[in-house]
Amino acid sequence: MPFGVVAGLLLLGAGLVYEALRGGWSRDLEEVRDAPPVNWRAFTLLLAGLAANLLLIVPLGFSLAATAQFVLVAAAFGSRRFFRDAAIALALTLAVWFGFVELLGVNIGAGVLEGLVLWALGREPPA
Amino acid sequence: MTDPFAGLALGFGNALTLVNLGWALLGCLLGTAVGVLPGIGPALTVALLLPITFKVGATGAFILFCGVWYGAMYGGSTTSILLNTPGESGSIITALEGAKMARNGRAGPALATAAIGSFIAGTVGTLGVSFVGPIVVDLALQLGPAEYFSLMVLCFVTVSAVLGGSALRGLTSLFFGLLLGLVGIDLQTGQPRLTFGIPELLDGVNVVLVAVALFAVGETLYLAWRHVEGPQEVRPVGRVTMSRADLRRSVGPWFRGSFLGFPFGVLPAGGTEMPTMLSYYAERRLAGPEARAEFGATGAIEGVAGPEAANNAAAAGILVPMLTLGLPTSATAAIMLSAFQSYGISPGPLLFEQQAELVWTLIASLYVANVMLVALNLPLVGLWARILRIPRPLLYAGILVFATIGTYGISNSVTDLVLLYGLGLVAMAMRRFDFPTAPVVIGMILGPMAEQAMRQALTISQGDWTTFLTRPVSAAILALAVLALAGPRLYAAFARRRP
Repeated sequence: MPFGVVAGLLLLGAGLVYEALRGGWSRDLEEVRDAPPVNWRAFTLLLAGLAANLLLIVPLGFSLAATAQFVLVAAAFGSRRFFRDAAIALALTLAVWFGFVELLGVNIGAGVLEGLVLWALGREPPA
Repeated sequence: MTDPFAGLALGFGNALTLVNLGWALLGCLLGTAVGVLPGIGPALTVALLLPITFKVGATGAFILFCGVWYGAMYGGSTTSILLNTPGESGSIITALEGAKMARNGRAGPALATAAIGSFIAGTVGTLGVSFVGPIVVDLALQLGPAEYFSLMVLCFVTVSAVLGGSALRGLTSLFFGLLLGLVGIDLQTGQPRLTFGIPELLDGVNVVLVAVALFAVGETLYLAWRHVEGPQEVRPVGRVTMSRADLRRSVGPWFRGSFLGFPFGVLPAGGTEMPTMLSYYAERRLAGPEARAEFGATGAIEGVAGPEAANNAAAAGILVPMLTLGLPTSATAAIMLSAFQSYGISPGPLLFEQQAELVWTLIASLYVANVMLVALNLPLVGLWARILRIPRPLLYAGILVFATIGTYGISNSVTDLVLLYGLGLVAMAMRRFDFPTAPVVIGMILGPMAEQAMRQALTISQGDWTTFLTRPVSAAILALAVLALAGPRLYAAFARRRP
């Protein structure tokens, strides 16, 4: 089975290369033809948001990492009100975290912020 | 237990309990919301809701999922009409005429005909599921593993090669999905495959992760890449009513669309694009001279009523192969199938016998959900349209937060997040170069099942590969698959030779 799939992929790849060499198909696509120019600023900010989450989620926990991600992504899509975004992000990520942990019983390790909130509520963080 | 009337009696008894009505209502609300919001669809929503399978019983969970599935069909039309950005593939056609009607101040009738058409088509489709389902089960019980394998091959070919712009790109997506499905320990021999020594990959690549990467991360990346600064215009809803003339012009398209859409959903030809397109062309041809002039100009109500009905009927039809054969022909159905697997239930012909109560409760809930949705959508459409006012930056940032927690929650592993964002980049490239994404999910879920069926068939035939061709039903299905793949090309070549 793996060999079959790989053979199929090689065959299809060859087909795609052949099509691409004949001039590709992008110009047939309405969406690509009329597309606005690539927005590298937005794209880079969004990638930075994803990277921030990857780097921060282990040391800081989900809520803070996701807040950083939220603010960066919102900025990528043109938001200028960073403090409002951060406030919304904190409320949202904490709500989502509690929703998953309490209602669905999915264990998502408590980070700095979640630990603080749990401590304020007088509860033990889940193991 | 294949008598539909007894089944429905049992099903309605269960579906009308307070708890199950609650699940249906929750599903309908969520489904309409995600249908309305551009950028997220039912596949992503069901994928993110999969963790509830740990807490909630199978019946409640599937009522919820089906509510989302039906609700997204209703909500999708609202966005197509008011924003001219179709929420999912089935409502692209609705956007053609619907957005034109909205631009000419006729958003109200367009929304009304879409909602009522969806209700009629949903009812026709659900009746179809109740009465065609048991017949398909009786046929399916006679199929052996060889036939099953051939059916899956047919399904692969139709979802990837027949639909969409190019067979080559569709098949490439499918094989990418098959490749992802191979990762992990092989169940029959215990050998790890394609794990590259990374222990997190031994359990395979999670379906939720792939769905979220394709439908949320890839989509958001693509939108950022193509982002144009500035707000987007939402057309006012107006009064959601129809004049007598609107009604007279809509009735025919509603029923034609319904009866056109359902068979397309049932056949493993899959998808809602083809029936909506066919319905659109049929209505344009059938329209009187006055209405014909409105097509493509001010927006014809027939062009909303017909395709919208076809879309919903096909969506209902897709449940038939999923419940009776265990064959998903859309991304959402594929993810629902993986929910069945996480309950240890294997969908297929035996489902109607072993889980009769679950199946019939689910089908009865579809009727309930349909009534709920038309009640939620007709008077409240203005409220739903208000969701569209959520600022885009916050909406997309929120989607990525949900995508991240949905994936991180599976195993608390950063490896999964790296995989999520990596696959998101792949999905963005696929979007740019017009590769369809649904075949990836279908290939990933159906691939391992096809492999198992193939091995069972080969075990029965003692390793004789000709078993797929010597058993008549299996050979016929494979021939169909070859025909579906090669037919259109042969026809084109033939047509070119004889101008």
